[in-house]
Amino acid sequence: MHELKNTFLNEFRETGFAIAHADALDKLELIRRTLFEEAGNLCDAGDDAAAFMNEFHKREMSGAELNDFRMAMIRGFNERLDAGEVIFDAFQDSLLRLVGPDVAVQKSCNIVIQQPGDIDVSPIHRDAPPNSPFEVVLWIPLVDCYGTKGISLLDRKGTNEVIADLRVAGKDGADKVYEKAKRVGHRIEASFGTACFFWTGLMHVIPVNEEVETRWSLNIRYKNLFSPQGAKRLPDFFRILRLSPLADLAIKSERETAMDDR
Amino acid sequence: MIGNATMKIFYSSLDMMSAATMPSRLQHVVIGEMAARLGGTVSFYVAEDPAFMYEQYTLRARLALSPAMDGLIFLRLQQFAYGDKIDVAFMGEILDMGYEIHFACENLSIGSRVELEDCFPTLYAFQIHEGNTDENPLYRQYMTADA
Repeated sequence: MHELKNTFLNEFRETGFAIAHADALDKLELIRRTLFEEAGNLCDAGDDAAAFMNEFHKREMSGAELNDFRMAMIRGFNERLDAGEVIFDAFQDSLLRLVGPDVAVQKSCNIVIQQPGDIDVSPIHRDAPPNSPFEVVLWIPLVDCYGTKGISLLDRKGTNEVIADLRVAGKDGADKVYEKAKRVGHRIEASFGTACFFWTGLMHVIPVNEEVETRWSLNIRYKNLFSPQGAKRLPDFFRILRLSPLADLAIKSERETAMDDR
Repeated sequence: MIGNATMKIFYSSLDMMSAATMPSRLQHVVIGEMAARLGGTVSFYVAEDPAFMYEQYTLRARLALSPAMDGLIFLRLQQFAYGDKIDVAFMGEILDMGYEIHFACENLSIGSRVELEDCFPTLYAFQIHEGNTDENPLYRQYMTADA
């Protein structure tokens, strides 16, 4: 176990990303089951969460109907579950090693449904900037992801090369740089029960899903509470999730002073 | 509730330090949207003199008149952090007068002393990250030792 964690940390340090298995798989199962139950309140979802998600495209929802469904499901999901907390519990050991004991989490967890052939995908981008480079993104597949059903990440070296190319490409050359980025990206194939941890500074590509199954995934960001912030800040975008005993003690002491400070 | 049975009444406090990037008209929109979400409307607004952002003299003068309202909606938390420390004591005073405190940009609400104490770690973290390090030129002009 110790060796596995060291491998994870070394990979992350080297490339900017690494895949971790959940320390508590039941937490991820809780998330998937809750989403599935919320979907079941909105449509006939059957009795198998993975099958429902993988075959979601067969319902032929699109446009406003799909968005309404997604929003209603997310609303119900968020009322029932604190996703930031549950995901932290699922990957607690890896997260604590990366961000330390004083933890801030993104207030809302993003839920992505990527149906086969759907061309509405985010263009190649990195999160930081404008996010802080002190954040880590957890990309969490709710179904087994393979081929174009997953995402594609450029490692630190690849990201630096793309940024350098973009600086000299000019408006007409940017498309070629992006095409190259798609070619050199690492395709992330991950099963349910794992998460891809990646640094916010990495370029990433969401390919058009050309497989025969729908991808359902979550993404959420964590950071050390006391590390520098980006443009997405606390308390509007992040909230405090955990305080170390030391920080808890210090903040309580500061509170006593502040409340009486006139 | 001060307003009618279905509508709360709020005062708003604009942030003049933000006026260059968010004109007053936009600030009214953002605050008005928060008031609507809270089931109310804004009946009056204040805007501080940039030289006295930390002291909030304009707001204090208005509060001294004990206006009939349910609470205050500030544009952003920074309005309490233009000094060395976030002014939690003034927040406590406002709450003691029976008024709620809301922040539109942060979508943050504090309705009582207990909620203020619970919220303190967030306020403290905000102070560490934002505090008096604002890059706003008005801030540098009025609030630094060189002013």
